[in-house]
Amino acid sequence: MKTKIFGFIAIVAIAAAVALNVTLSNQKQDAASMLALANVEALADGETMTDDEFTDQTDCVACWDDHNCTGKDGKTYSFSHRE
Amino acid sequence: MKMKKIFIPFLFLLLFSCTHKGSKSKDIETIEVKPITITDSVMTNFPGSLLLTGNYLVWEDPFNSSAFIKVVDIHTGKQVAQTGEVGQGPKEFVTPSVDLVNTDKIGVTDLNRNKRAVLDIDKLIRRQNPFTYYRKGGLKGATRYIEFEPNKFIGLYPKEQMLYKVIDKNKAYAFGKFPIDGYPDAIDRANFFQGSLAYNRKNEKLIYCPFDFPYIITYKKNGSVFKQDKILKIFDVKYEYVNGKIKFKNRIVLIGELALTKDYIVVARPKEFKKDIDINTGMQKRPHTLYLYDYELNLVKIIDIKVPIIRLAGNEKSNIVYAIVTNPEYSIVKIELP
Repeated sequence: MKTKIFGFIAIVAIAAAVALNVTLSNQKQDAASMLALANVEALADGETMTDDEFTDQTDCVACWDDHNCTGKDGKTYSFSHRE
Repeated sequence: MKMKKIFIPFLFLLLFSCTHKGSKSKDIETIEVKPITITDSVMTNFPGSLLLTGNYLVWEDPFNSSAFIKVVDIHTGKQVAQTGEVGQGPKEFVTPSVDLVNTDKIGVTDLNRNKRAVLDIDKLIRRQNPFTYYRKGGLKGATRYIEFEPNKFIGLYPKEQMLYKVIDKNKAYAFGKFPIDGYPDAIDRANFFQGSLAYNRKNEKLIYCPFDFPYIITYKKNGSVFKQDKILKIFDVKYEYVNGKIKFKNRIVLIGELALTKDYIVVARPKEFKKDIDINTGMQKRPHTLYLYDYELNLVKIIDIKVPIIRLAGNEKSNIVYAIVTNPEYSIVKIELP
């Protein structure tokens, strides 16, 4: 009986952990998309790219501070920091 | 024996005085203050600057290409106007950066063009063309600037050899040493010495907080000249020069937002300076706490508002600050500082 209860608790715990992980990774994806969108808009050329592509192209990384980054492409971006 | 009698109490006195100085911030109790929500619908993916001018709060929606400036009435919490277009046109901005230039003036600087503008909020509300456009002139290279007297500016120039320049019509003078040992190169200066700059017109003090060092530095205006007044190093950042480049030994994210009020320099900072990453965003967690320093840089109060602070604004007329917080959506709140 004790084993059955423990097994049930373990299954519930694993399910909860999986659900939480899915939620967190979705949220993380949203945040990453938000930053990618922000940087893409900053390029002002309408080109679609991911956050990583933005960093590869400019060497700048998005940040909360009102910090400017002059990228290796010679353009200056707001809310970003040199990598 | 006589020497011992004198020496032992002196030693105790010395030890006691050292301990007392070091534990000062720990002695200050954290006060909980419940912020008052004035706008619960800040519709943006990424709130930029928050500025207080007269009866309006101006917040920047930096990646909104059709209206990157939003104006909110502080009494009603309602958005009363919006403006600012991103683009290549003569009245548009490629990469706008929005700052408080004066207590009544909002400045927009284009980071990639030789253009800046001043926004007149009254004209905007009357639906007239609100912008007056200028070339950057001597303000080129300034990451922040303030009009401290009519047509007299002070700017922060981290790429240059001195930190600040005062621009008075066609004249300019540079001053201000970098608050660091050694002499970093232009790229490191631009990376590590950008920061918040604010000016209190009543006591004529200029305040600078670099983003990458937990320092608060004040300057006192004397005529048209600014002289360093005080520096508070909240803690020492450990770094070294490797092949001429600054290399941090303990890299952490530091002071985020700064606002001035009548009696305080208000700094949004965490209780502990440590790398505290938000698992949702992958970025440094935003602080819940406001540290209130007087203009002599003594820590006076610590306020906990229990929600993450994204942006902060205030002015020297009162001890009220406004903030954009996540609660859990972005909202604008008012905080009456005790």
